[in-house]
Amino acid sequence: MAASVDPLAEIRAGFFAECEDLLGRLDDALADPSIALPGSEPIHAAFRAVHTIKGGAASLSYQALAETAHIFESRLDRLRSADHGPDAGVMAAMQALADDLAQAVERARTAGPTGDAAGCEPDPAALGNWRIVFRPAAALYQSGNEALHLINALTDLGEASVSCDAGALPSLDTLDPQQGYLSWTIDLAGSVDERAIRETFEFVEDICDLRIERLTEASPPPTETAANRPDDGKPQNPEFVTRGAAPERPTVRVDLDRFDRLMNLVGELAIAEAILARRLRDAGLDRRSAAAAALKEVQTLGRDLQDSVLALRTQPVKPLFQRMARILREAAARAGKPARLHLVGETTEIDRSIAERLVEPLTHMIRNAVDHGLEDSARRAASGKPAEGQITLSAAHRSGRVIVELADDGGGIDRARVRATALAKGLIAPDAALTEAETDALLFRPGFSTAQTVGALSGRGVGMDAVQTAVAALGGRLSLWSEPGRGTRLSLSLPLTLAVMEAMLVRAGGHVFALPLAATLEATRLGTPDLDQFARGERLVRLRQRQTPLFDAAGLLGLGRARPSAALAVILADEADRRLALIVDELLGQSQIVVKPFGAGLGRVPGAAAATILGDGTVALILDPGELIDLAAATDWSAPPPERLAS
Amino acid sequence: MTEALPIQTGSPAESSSDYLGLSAGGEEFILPLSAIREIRSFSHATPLPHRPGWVMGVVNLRGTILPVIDLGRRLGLASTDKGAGTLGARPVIVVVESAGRLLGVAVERVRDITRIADRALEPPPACATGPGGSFLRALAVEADTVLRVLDPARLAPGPEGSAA
Repeated sequence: MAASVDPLAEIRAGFFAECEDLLGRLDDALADPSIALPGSEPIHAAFRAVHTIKGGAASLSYQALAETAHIFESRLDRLRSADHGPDAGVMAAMQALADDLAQAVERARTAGPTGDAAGCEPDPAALGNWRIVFRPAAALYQSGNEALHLINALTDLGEASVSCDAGALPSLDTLDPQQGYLSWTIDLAGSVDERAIRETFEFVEDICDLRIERLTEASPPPTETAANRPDDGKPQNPEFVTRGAAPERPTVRVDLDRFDRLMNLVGELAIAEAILARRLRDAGLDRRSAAAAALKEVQTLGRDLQDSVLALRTQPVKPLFQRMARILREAAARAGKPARLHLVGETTEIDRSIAERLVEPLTHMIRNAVDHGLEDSARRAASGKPAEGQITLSAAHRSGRVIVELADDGGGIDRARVRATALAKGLIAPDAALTEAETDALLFRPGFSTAQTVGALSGRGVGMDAVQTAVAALGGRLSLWSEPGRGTRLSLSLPLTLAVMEAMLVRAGGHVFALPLAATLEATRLGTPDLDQFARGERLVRLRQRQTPLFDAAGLLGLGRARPSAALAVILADEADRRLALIVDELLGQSQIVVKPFGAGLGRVPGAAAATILGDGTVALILDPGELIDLAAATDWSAPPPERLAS
Repeated sequence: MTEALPIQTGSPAESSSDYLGLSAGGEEFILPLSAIREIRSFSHATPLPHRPGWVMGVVNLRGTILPVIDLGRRLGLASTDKGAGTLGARPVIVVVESAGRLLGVAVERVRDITRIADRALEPPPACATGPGGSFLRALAVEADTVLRVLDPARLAPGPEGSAA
């Protein structure tokens, strides 16, 4: 018994991954405006998605999920054959059914088949007379199954008439005894539950062709289908149980760990290549030689390989956003605040593992926006806002990072209340003078919650600090803007990928650092006036027509200091276009680097987001411009510059 | 206990574990061998910004980033790293694993492996005094010697590991 647990667990995991995909497709279909047309393609797409979930759920004995999917499927089926498209009321009902389905999937995932199995009363809609067309594949026989047993089991369910189709049988001399050539048609009468039929085929479903149709003569139907549909070319009766990849976009599911191993190997290859190139140069390889040309070719291929592997790692934020749309509907319903979610930039590509790890923080953020951000209807009406709260979730690429923003048009942060709460919790002194930004920052303190009553959804005091922790763990930063009466905007700045980046390598204070190229504006020689200013302890110089803070890179990091003679500065900008100029000793050039996380256990490393391994095998820190700017801002400018300190 | 069941005393079934002896900051300690993944020669560690002095930095361990601490300084003793140029004074990195995380521990020298019976272990004194007291897992009392067993989990620099 125990031995059978593992393979099944794998199948279940595959099923839920597929569900996620199908729910996304369902959302797509329901959001498609053309669904309002009678018999439109989105209705069929929605039907196929729900149907596939139902089939999988039934075969894995997730009864409650199969029930929910079945109810939805019946609704969609009626809609498929209706001669008018769904109106707004029907669409709202569809949306609610879709949310129910998503929840049922979630329940099945957490509770498992036994916990899910409550309430298996036969659904009258599932009863009927059936025609089963069954064609075993060779694999069915090879795995020791016997068609006769299955057919016998069916005859136990009701009044059966069985016919065998031997039309595919070749002549004896060409017959391969290992193959299955026969198919059977079984008509079952006497109000049989469809589930009972599917259960019979539970273990062979993927090694046979199985079609189960309701016999319509016997039960004149709400589900009358197939006959008079105009569009065609596609299989109209999707009762074929399809498994695995969906027809529209064939995909392969790969375990993320295996994928990371591949990514790591590609990274190692890049490092080995760099070492080789260096050794050859040191050995005096002529740049114009054939060997140098061949090396260049290898490097180009290596770069292409890396890009291709990287592209596999990314996916559009769309599925993530769709999941958030469901979270929002659920939160809005429970809080009794109508809200509409606008999605912007759904095609923005993001690293898969980042997307996965964003689910939790985004869920928190959305619930917070509904619970704390949006006012109740009365207050919205009083301030002349539409009754429906407007929430925008957007994604965009900026400065080599992915920016994910959540904005609401609610009341904004009630800073007086935040202050009062912080005071009551002893987080601040009664006479503390706080700027708006400092007050807002209190929201991210562990255990802080402004909810006056603990809401059903958020307000348990595990909100924003958990969000911040999760975002920081991804190498991201979180910023918040809020305007009283206008709303609140939370912005997450995340690395594009956790894997590779283009970087500018510099030497400062004897150490090599990598600066993300996307954030590096330019390198410049400092003029004598700038240097004099710097030596006097002034930390603002005019560069690129902007007053820019100027710091010694190594000094800022507490790792020594630059050579005073260097006079070379690199200008950095973060995604909010805040600037910083860093004095460095030497520019070592541009390079594609493999991003290696510090790993747990080191805690946060101020100023550095991760590390990379250089061509000579040593480790260099990847500096994070945003963090450096924060570090610079936190530095006491009135203190003497580091190079004047006694060493 | 041993009086009630004298037959168990000194029987081959008595449980015991192996420990690696090492010296750091001029003193002797032992680490449970079960926590040690490998021992490697020292390579230049890339320093990290704004870290306590006992964090030497990070090194490349076959493609992953390994944090390395100076055990001597971590325990409040003399630094393990006597600096470049001192012949034979380069430390050795002992890679330990604790709670699934790898940590490089730079020591002056590794010594032999000792087998110690579990019954010879005593909890560290409540007021763990003396160098590195709060990093001790136990004291191993055998014959006329007392060996100090370090707790790998308490050496890590992360927020949860900084017991000092």
